[in-house]
Amino acid sequence: MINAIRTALAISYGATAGALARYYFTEFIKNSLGKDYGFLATFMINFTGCILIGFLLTPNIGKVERLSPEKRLLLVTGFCGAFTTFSGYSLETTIFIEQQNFQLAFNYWFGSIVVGILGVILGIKLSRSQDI
Amino acid sequence: MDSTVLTYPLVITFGAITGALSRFYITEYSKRNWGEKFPYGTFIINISGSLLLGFFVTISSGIFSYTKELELLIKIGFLGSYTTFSTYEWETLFLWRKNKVAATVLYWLGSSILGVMAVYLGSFLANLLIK
Repeated sequence: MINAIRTALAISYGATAGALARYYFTEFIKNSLGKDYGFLATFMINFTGCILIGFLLTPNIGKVERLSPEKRLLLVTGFCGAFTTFSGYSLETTIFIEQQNFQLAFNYWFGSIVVGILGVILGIKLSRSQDI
Repeated sequence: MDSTVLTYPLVITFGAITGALSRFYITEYSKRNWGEKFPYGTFIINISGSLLLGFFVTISSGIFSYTKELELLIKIGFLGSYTTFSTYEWETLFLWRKNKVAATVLYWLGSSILGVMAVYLGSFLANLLIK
């Protein structure tokens, strides 16, 4: 029981920070670049979230221990999970399709998932480079 | 002080916590019942979340008048936090490293294609209700 509560709390803390960071960063981009550029914020958020998850889930052998289960719930399930978003990404792609901007729709749709993989790989490399 | 400075983050927080916990419990359920060979949990979450977002975006521009707080609660808080992009890409790479090429491509492209289709389906269902 206590474990179930600690689990839920760890996820909740991480999710609150992740979702608010996503909201404020998106508002910041919209205010600086214009209302139609929210997708750039989603793109950057999803990319950095992928770097972070690759980094966090890769143990750097011999130096730092693997993430403890609670830190993993807080940082990965909570923060990374809530910071990045899949539904927003899907919706923004359909908006470009509706605007008949097929070039941008494809670039955003495919670019996001390619850059996401590269982000995870980058995160893994960054974590491994901490090894001595 | 503008009251939205407080209410906006509060409603987002409430949505984000329920969204992330739903994601966690669905993922755990999927691992226990269907195993860990394929990330069924995240797959179901991302597709259903995209469907719900398509639904709410359409229905909120239809007959119901949505307040800004409700919009932030559902779309930014709950659905933004319920669905996840980082875990999806991590799992794709994980399948690839296990040499499961077909599963990798199916999961990676399948999620992103079905995600877009789910938004349209959600929007379509909302239009049925509005009319």
